[in-house]
Amino acid sequence: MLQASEISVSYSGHQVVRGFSISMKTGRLVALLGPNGAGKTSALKALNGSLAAAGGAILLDGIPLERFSRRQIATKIAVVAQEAETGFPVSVLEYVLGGRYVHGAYFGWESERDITIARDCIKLCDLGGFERRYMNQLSGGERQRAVLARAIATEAGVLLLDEPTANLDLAHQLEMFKLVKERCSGCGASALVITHDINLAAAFADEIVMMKDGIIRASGTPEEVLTSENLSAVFSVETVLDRNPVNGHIRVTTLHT
Amino acid sequence: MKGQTGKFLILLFALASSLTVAILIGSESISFSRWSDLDRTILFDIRIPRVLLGAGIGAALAVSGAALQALLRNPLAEPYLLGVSNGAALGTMLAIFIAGEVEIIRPVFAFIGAVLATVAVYQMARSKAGMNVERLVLSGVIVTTMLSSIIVLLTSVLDAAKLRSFTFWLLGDLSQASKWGFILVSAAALLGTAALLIQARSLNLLMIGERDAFDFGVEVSRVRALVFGVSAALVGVSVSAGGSVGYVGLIVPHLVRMMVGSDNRNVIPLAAIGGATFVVLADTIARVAIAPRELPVGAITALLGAPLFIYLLRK
Repeated sequence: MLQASEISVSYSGHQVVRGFSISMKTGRLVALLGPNGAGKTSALKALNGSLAAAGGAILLDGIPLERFSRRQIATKIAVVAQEAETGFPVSVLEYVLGGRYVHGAYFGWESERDITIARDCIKLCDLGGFERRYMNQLSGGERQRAVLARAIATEAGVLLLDEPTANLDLAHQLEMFKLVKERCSGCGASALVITHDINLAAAFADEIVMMKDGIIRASGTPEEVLTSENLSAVFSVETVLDRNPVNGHIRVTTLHT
Repeated sequence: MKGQTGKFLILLFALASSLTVAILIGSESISFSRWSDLDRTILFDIRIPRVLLGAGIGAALAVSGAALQALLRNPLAEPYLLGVSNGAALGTMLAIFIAGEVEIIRPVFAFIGAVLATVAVYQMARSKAGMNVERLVLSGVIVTTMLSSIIVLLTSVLDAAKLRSFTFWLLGDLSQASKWGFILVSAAALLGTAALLIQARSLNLLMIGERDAFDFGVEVSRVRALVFGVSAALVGVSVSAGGSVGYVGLIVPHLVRMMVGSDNRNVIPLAAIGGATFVVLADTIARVAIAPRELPVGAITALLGAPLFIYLLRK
């Protein structure tokens, strides 16, 4: 389990996150919302040690994060972020197998089990049949699904996702959240999802955290957090809230004149 | 090597053939039917050491090119184009200038020169937004041309006989091969290939992205330092023995990737074999094309390599 209490993060000399606390319980999906520049990505990067956190503490399974090596962290925490362009031809299978790096010997070939797991993750993310295609031949959405497949292939208990639905069409946006939710409720993972889609967050998240200017403005269940007042304070937009008539989830609609 | 044994054997065969051809061909023909002391001298003291030196240099440069490309995420990274070779050349020249005939100092100074050039290019290429292809290539061109100019200046002004001509430094030349020089280069090539092969899995992740590699468990700073260090050592040893032979680190890994894909566990060992073959063949051409005069081997690798690379770029 991953826990952070009162951490702050500085980036290029500015303090971009202050007093950030979060408790990622097993089986729970937490959505992290906020306007651009709120510090969401920096907070996420601090949670897996990519950015140094000052003050406070980050505990992974009760042990301070600094005590772990990169390899150990990578077996427990996996990241889904915007995928970098690569100038080399890498197949989808090779890409997803990258998630198995921490499970094998430092030098050597992947085991049969590694390959099976990678294949299963590829199918799970609706990329079956794409194994031999090169990553740079895929569409943006397909690549994003490969990024998710790689993270799932690590079998890590904590998933940190930075705008995983950014390039996805409607159907795949839904699919992405369903998959992540399934990993949580079905496989016992915990997930932190940074997203700009408030309605998907409302539908899938067990907990919502709203950030603005580096601090947490509200956190709790979707019902507790998603109010017109909070949304107005954090996002500077007027909204009207009701319930989706079909499934009863909170529905946020922005108002504009 | 997973599933690439066939290609491995083909390349080995190519290497063996080119070694054989190279040893038998030359401006001085060796007569096996009327074996004399002159034939023995030519074969064992001149021909074989030179051919093996070429093989060692080819392997060392190709492997360091392959590793640098993966590390810098740039298929155009190469010791010569990045200025690393010229850094090593200046280091060697300094060693000759200071310590004259103490040959063992040269690879050490060459290594230091190579490291300094690598660090310079790397720091120049980095920016807030990360490193991109254009910045890296540009930084490499700046460092290379600046160092080339210094080399030409020094060889023109100072004692040319002692420092060797700038053709040696800028275009490579295996005619200065000493009888046992190939041993150091070959040993370095072998050890360097092994050291980089151990990092191959990490390089596979780094090749995709530094952040990705970090998030998925690679100790990025450690691997980067190691790959830079080993590459600099490989380039340093090669350049101090044979001058800057260009394009090997660019062409060979590219060709190998076309054969077997980008997995560095395959690319690194095959690049070593391919690189050795390439330089041995290039040097054979250099020796016999305008016999009895010789061309610098780097001229051949560039003449072969540049058009080949243009062709590859267009594919």
